[in-house]
Amino acid sequence: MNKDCLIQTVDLSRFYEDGRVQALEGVSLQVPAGEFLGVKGPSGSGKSTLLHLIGGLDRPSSGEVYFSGQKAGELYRRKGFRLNHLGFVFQSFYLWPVLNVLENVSLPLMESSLSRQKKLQKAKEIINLVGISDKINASVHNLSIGQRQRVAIARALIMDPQLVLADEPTGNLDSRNTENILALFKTLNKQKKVTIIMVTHEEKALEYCDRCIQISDGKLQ
Amino acid sequence: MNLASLAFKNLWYRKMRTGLTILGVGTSIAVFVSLVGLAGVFTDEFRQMYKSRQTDLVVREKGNFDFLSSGIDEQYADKLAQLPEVLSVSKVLLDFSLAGAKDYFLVLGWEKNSRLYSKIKIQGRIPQEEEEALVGANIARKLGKKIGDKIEVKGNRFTICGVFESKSMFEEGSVVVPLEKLQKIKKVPGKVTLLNLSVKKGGFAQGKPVNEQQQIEGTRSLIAGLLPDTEVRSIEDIVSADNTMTYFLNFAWAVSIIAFIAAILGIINTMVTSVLEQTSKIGILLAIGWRKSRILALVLYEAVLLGVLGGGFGLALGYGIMNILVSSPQLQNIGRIDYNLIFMAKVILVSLAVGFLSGIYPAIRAISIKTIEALRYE
Repeated sequence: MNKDCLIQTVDLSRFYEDGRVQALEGVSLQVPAGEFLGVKGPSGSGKSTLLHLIGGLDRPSSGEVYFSGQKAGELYRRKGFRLNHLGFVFQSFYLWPVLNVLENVSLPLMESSLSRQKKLQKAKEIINLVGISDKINASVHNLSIGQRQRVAIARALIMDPQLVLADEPTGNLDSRNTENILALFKTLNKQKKVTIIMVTHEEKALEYCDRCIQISDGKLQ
Repeated sequence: MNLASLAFKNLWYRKMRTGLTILGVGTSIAVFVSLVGLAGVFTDEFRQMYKSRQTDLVVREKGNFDFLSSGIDEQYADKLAQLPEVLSVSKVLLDFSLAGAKDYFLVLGWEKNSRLYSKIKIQGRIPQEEEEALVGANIARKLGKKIGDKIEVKGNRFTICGVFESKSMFEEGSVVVPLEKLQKIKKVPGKVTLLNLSVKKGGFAQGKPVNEQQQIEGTRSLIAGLLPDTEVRSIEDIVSADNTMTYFLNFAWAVSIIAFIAAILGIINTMVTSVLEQTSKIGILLAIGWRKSRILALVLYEAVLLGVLGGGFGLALGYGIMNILVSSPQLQNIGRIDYNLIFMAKVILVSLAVGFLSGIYPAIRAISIKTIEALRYE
């Protein structure tokens, strides 16, 4: 295993319906720490499946994912590992409508043993970093689509993860918001040295990435 | 923010559904509170009636559980009065009489010199003649009768010679007539329904104060041996063994259990719908690393909150219903409502248990969802 890589996949495959549907086949990939990796490909090519397998949201049919040289499957089962090392950003944001911005961002902190004061301070810092500090107590209903995605990004970053997995994070955004969010990802990648793997089918988004890979028909091109 | 506040906000977000669920749970709890509460009121009044007469033991016909048809020889009273352990014996004959087309009242046959008269507060006087009756304050108020008026008891007209108040509202809803007259009306000469006994208490044995309960039990055994065709019961025995009250209490519990099941199903329905609606939100919690136990706790919190809020509402509604029932013309002499804090605390605990039980299935369902499937739910 390459211990210099934060993420490494070895011959990773995922089949559905008893092997009749092949979503991903034999993908081997190395992602160094601090890299902003773009994963592109047409719809249904298997790029989201790759992201889900890397993040432990799904289990591979064969092959292995390694996180800092250790089997990810074992690490992810450890209490608090995913909470402290991984952040997720999705196209649909998945915000809790009953909670305001601060509360949504603080959701991962509910699993943390930090003091109430420190939790609040941490949440305020990250909200400030993503540029929505004036909306801290606003209901997520009253936010623009771009602001909602910033809340989701803040939630992904609040535990200072080493890796952020973003699945079509700009898929629901207009071009101006897309550029803003991508610029934010780039800034976070540089400032916080966080490794980002971003799935997208937008060519423009890939301009922000350090490297880009393409998946077609479940295979790495 | 903690789990409880998140659970509360979740419920508050779906106000209509939450309100309707609380209404449903509350109605079920109200059924329990009002029925079991009324049974308690009835039982307490029955007990109070004996206590106010300072009755320790009641002698009645053996094997006949029906108060109205049972009877023992009234001469037993003279036998018992001679026992050194017995302080006093009072003869009582019981019956019911119609008041108008629908209502009825209890009729008590007492001797002219009965000790029982000293336990009630009389305005007017004790019946001296056969056709005189003493009317309970409740029944006098209900029928609009006063001293000097006539009252019909089982087809016989009596002149009201007094109106009485008692510590028991049950007794206040009755009419007292001379024992001999009621025996004639019922055609049971020389018979009484029961004998009320007061046991001599206090004193010392071997330098130590004698236990009153032991004295009562001792007298009971003595009488049981002396009068084998009777049964001698303590007040608690009578209250717990009374058929009417037992049936009513069993009925109250049976209806309450059905109501509880309805409440549990109502909360399960609400929570399963809520879990389904929030599948993707639960998915993100799993994705960001929330433990399944925390998600389980969140769903259980919501269910318990629904149960407890429903319980609080049901408690208020139940006591409201009880107040209406007790002040209704049909039940106005049944008794006084006891706002018992222990009973209220028990109701809230039961509501909490209802909420918890209802939350188990939806909570298990919530944590059984696979993260990736949950995120794809929308």
